[in-house]
Amino acid sequence: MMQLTKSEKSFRPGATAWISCVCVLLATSAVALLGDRTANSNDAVQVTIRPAVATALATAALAADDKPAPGTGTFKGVVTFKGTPPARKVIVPKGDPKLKPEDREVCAADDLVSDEFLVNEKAGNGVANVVIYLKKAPEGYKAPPEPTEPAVFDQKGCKFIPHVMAVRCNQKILIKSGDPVSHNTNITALRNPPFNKVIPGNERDGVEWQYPKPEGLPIPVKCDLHPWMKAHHLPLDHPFVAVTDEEGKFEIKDLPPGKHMFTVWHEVPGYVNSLNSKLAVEIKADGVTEEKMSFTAAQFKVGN
Amino acid sequence: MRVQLISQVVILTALGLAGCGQPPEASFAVNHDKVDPLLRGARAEVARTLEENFGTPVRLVGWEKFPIDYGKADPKADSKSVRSKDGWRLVEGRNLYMTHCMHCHGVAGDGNGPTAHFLNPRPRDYRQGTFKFKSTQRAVKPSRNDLRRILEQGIPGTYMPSFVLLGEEKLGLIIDYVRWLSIRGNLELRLAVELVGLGATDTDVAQAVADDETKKLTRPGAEEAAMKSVKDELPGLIDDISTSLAESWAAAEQPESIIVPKVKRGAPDQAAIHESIERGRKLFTSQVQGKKTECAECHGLTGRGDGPNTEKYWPIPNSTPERKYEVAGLHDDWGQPQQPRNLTRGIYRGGRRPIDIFRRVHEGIPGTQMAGFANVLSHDEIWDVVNYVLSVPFEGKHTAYPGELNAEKEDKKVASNED
Repeated sequence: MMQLTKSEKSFRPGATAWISCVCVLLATSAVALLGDRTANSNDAVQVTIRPAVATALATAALAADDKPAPGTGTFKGVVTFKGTPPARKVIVPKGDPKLKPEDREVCAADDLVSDEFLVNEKAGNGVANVVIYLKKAPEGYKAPPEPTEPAVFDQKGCKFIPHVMAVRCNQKILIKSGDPVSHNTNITALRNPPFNKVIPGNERDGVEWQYPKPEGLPIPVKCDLHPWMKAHHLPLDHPFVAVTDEEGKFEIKDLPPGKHMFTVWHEVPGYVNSLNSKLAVEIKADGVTEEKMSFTAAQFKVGN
Repeated sequence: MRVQLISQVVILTALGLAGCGQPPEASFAVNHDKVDPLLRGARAEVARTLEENFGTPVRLVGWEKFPIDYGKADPKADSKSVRSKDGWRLVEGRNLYMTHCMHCHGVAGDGNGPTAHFLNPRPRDYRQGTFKFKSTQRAVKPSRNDLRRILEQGIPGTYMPSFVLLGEEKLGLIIDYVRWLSIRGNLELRLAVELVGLGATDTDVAQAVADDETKKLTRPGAEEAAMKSVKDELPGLIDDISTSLAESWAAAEQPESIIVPKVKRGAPDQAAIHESIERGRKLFTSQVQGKKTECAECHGLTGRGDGPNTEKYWPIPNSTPERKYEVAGLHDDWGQPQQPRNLTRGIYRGGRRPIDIFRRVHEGIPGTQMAGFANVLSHDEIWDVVNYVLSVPFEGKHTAYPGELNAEKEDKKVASNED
């Protein structure tokens, strides 16, 4: 608004009132005011430069305590399903005529069932692929260097293997394929750069990728050539994470003693049972803490 | 006297239009999709963070942490001139953006300006920090040169015109302002998503009260607990996000981020180019063993952008439980329906130079389902595909395809997809 009044000088003094009216009129369309006035803005320029603050505080706190913990504890347990588990969905029926012939041989050699929600009735309804992790490393904890062994993320029979994978930040991931058809691995993360590359058929050497930043939640991985293919990756800057195995069991070792808040996540409900997913666990030095978790269909948000 | 009278009438009319009092100051629109689920207190924290670090469209704040040239004060400049003050480039960039860009891209760079609703494709929403047409690796932001190229050339096939007539200096000002808007919008988006992750939402608080077995937790108590974790985490979150944004935009200017072919495209020899086109066609149509590109799945066997993937109903990413888009066909990361490029028309949004198409094939197109083929094709083979793609608009209408690819088979396939 101010910027427009500057040209008043070139008008007769009697016209100032008229000019101010124009200003009011223009003000009704506020955005129009910010016109191309690059060369002549003589009014108060409203801009502030904010210095980049070096916040070394948080990192300093981490580095300060270099001593290893005197003794560590283990957290283990099992996640089970309360009630009758839902039937696994068939996502691609055997010999699906909608698929191209070459895809049909590879992806639909048999009924392709969903890995989305796996309950093992032989093992007391253990639920696989539940992720139990700490969102942040405990205060003062110094994580060991990431494993030099690459994490292998494979594709076979038009499925991602493993279905849910936890990795360390900057740990090398090899994206492989054991299928003769091409796949594309499309990853959209929040804190990490995106990835979308076509993985050629029978790629056994693996295409390299890594996550520089930890994520708060497992991030989805998909294949656009086979839209049913889904998986999740969880990169973390510490090793305190476990994905339940096919019996629903998990174990996290080397935890510093003290109280930890674990997050319990599964791809169908997201956080399992909302805020209760923040699981407070007391870890004792050289001790084992066991937790048996059991959730209903409603808590897992699966229709029965 | 007459001037006075007219002016009085105008004043009255103006007051009638504007209402009494000051007109509202221009503001950056809130990212409602991401911010609205938050508790009121958490929403206020996001707004305060943005105002402190970026200001408003009228009172700009340039945070030096980001690799943006805000402009150092020119000591020789007239003390009344904007150039006599630190941050003048941001001010001038803002003025130019408001004149030339805001109408489509919106004050906040949210691709939601007043004209946006009438455009298809919609203008780019910078807040995701995703830009489609660039020379850098997919994981890296666009370089200043990439943005300059878009401003100078426009985007063919869209409403984005060329702004080459503004001249180099003004384009430079706009580029830095757009980078700044993108950083601002991305910080807002990521901060809101992180706070949702902390459980600072109405649903999480209601759930916490319902789940409390001791029945002692009240709604205000649960909100207070959620807000405490927001306030504890906020400084660290702002620092993490802003650092990662600063790094990723700085990386875009590094020479190693730019995709440069290892081999030249080859001499424009008539016979050689025909062979290359033929090899490219075989690659495009997935006829080469071990080099299945599946280009036709989206672009169609004849390159019309009508492959089978355009007829599927796709799941909405991150929807739990999973839902599908209401419209068949591909969707971009902004949730807008999109068509794979119809290659028969010879209109290439990211530029028609062979190197532009080379980079599209090599890295794919960020924000879309177009994947990169760097691991499937050698650079020579990518040039073959480029040569083929560039030849598609000039193909005869009745180009004979090999037996297994003829139109009849295609028709049957479509028919079998329909049942």
